Formats: sequence, structure tokens, C-alpha cells
Amino acid sequence: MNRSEMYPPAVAGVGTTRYGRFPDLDAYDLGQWALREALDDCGLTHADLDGLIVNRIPSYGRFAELCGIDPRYTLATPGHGRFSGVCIQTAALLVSSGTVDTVALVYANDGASAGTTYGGDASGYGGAAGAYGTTDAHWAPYGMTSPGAFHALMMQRHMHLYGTTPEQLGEIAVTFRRHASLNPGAVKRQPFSLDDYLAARFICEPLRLFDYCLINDGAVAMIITSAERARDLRQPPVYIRGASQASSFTGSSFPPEDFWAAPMQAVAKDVYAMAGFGPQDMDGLMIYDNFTPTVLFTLEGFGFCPQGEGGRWIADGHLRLEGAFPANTSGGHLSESYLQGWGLNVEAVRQLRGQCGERQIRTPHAIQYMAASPVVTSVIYGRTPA
Amino acid sequence: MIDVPMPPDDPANRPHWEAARRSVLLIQRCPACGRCRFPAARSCAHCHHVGGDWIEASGLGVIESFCMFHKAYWPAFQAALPYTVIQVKLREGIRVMSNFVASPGKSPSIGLPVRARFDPVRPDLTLVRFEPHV
Ligand SMILES: [Zn+2]
Repeated sequence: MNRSEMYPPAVAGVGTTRYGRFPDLDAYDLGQWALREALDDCGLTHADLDGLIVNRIPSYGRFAELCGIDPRYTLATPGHGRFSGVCIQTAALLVSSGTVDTVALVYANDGASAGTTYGGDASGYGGAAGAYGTTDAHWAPYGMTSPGAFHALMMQRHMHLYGTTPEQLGEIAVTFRRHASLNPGAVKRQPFSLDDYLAARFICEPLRLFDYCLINDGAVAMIITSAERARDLRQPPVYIRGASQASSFTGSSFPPEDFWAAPMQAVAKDVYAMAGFGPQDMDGLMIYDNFTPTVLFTLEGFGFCPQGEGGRWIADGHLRLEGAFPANTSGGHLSESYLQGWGLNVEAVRQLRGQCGERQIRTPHAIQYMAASPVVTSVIYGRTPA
Repeated sequence: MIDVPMPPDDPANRPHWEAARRSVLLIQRCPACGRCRFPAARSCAHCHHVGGDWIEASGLGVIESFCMFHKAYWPAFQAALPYTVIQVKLREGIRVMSNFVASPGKSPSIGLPVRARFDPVRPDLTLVRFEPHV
């Protein structure tokens, strides 16, 4: 991942629950389910884990107690989707430095059964929950709330500046649903047309129903260890070729003027240099899709197309399974499952292993995960160590 | 008049809400570097000086963006649907989220000059909204 690392990191195991609505299971149950799947995937046991990183699980201590593990390194992170990339970067650093041998990363989301609405009361996940618009409660009397509205404000400006159209955004939603229709595990599998997209109701104009991600329950676990150790395990290792992070917190109570281009350019420069790849070498893209505009901003920020050209570039069909950069082949947050980046990282691993059935990308060598928000992250996964 | 959610009762921002009831727009300014900020904060994010002054803002700005809510995240807004939220950049360099008030048929647009107006919405709350400024 970088020149100084002692133990290049790899993903040895991935595990996922089913996705949907599980009122009888809490975040601990879901997280343990995913972790069992991930351990079984690679052939390790709980006793092999000496690192634990949890995301959106209320108590790291309770989770570890329930798993019966005493890691040498424990970290809990807030349930903001941007932290999936941060967790994976952190695990890669812990392993590559030799701090721990094997890290379990566990994410669990019981948002559907808990009735999470991602808007309104600023406690919990309401308002922008301090993730988008860090002073959101102040604007509640004006009716301003929700990450969706924050992205609607950004999209309105993009349309004004560059002439981006609803039809171009719709291509993202239609494409990812088409991919989900090939994924037996996806929550929403019924394809829809661009006309269906345009006919759906507005939630926060200019964004419509299908511009928004799903709300569901589900959990994901990943096992990250050294490439050397991973080679002895049940699955072929998927190598973490690069992982990087940058941020734009200054003024982040309001939408960024540059659509987060500056931190994305910093991360792109870094992560491609680490991986020894450029954007043109990517066989697939996993793009954080909380809302369709985020996908567009990400493609521009990481240099897949010039700033302002995202709409036209996407409308050319590049993101389709048969396109130049098949994206979110699982269906992503918009159609597979809202797993805050984790599901997309697992999809990258499964694609590189060739486990994706009807939605399999033909012989991929490198797949890039990207997330745009006030914290930008990217991870490049490869089928070979260098 | 609808029962809008109250802002947090944060002592740091009380001068702003109290002034709004007198139709005065107060924002904070750093006495060291002169940069404005809002909502209130104990120190300046630019020069890190601790402390701030309240100043009266011009109330003039431009609409940077807007969106229209078709979903009510608070029951109180159900009757107001669809309603518009605007993002305004004030002359003083700060941004606010607010609402657009204009004669019927007049829509917000990016770049439109606006000026503050003061709308009592509850006995204990006056909002700083914006109308077109020609
Ligand atoms: Zn200052």
C-alpha cells in the first residue's frame, strides 16, 4: 500500500447478512451474524482476531463481550457512511504496521426496524445528524433538515452551473436498479425505466424518490490480515493496493462550493500513486451512493470526467455492467441495501474473486471504492499484490 | 401560523433570536480578524481568537441555492407542503438557511438578490426570512 509498509494488507474474508427488515434482531445480533459469515468465508475463528473495529454498533464493549473476544486493538466509529472507508484504511494501517495480525471490521444497521427517518428531530439520525450541515438544528424552524435536502441544494447548483438534467441523474438510478435485478440478495430488484424515474414523486426537489438510498436492516463484516497470512486461507486474497483519506470540514455546515472536488483530488492523487494504477485501469467502480448526485460529484472529483461533465458522461452509459466502468454492480445503496459503504467494499472483493454470478465483471484486476462527503475516502482493491 | 420546531435553546445564540424579535439581524464577528460567523461560536475558526462581538448585518445577500420539500419530516410542516428552503450568502460573507417569501408566482433562483424580513411565527420565535431585493 505504501513503500514503508512491513506487511501488505489483504481482505481474507467477507460476510453479509440478508438485507431487509428484521425486527427480532438488534445491531448486535446482526453484527455477530455477519462476523460468523466472514470468519466462515476465510476459515478463521473468533480466537484468531486480535483487532476489532465496529461501525454503527452502539457499544463496542458489549459487542466484543458477546463475541467472547479480547482484542489487542479496539475502535468504535460513528454511524456515518463515510466511516466505512476510514475503518478499512485504519485496518490496513494496523495490519501493515504489524500492530495487529487480523482485524475484524463489523458494521450493523437496524435502521429500518428502529424507524430511522434521516430527517426531522436532530437527535439520533434525524436532521443531518451532524454529518451534513453540522449546525442543522439551528435551521429546524425554517424546515431545513435531512442529508437528502443538503444534496438537493448541491444538485440545484450543479444543474444551474453546468446544465445537468434530471434525465442524467435518472441514468444512475436506472443503471443501479438494473444491476440489482441481477443480484439475488438485493432488496429492490424490479427494474424501472427513465420514465418511471421521472414520474416518481419528489422528496426534496430537484431530487425524486429513486435518487434516495433505501432504508433497511443488515450487517457486513470484513476480515483484514496480512497478504502473507491471507494466502494460506480459504479464499484467494484480495489485496488492498491503496487507501487514502482527505477532508473538508471548514465551512461544512453548508454545501461545499466545489462539490468536494479538492479533497477528492487529494485522495485520487494519493490512492492511485499507492496502487500503481490510474483511473483508466479500473475494471469496476464502487461509488458511495447515498443519493444519485453523490455519484456524479465523485466521478468528477476523482477525474473520470471533467468538472461539470458528469451528467453527460454518465448518460453515455459508462456505469453500466457492459460499460467502460461498471459501477455498483450489486445495486448499491440505491437498490441493493443501505449499508453505508460496507456493502460496496464487499462487492469489490467478491467481484475480484469472481463470485458475482450474473452481474460478474469479466476478469477484473482492480476495483476502486470512493466516497464523497466532508470526509473523502478511497480504497483500491487488486487481484494481485503489485 | 404553524407550530414550527424551536431551535435549540443555546445561550450562545440567544442574542440573535432576541434581536430577530426586534427586527434586527445580529451575527457574530471576530474582533481580531474581522471575519463573521454564524451560528455563534466561542472562538474564531480562522485566527483562533477567543470571543466574538455581535454586529448588525445588512440583511442583504444572494440566493446560492434552493430546494423544495415535498416531504414533512416534522408534522408541523405537513400543512405547508411543498415549501422552499433557500441557502443565502450574506454580504458579510456568512451563509444562512432560510425561507423565500414573495408574491405568488415568484420563484427563487440562484443569484437572486434578497433582503431579510422578520416573520413572527410563534409568540416566542421570529424567523429571519428573505424576500426579493430589487
Ligand atoms: Zn478571527
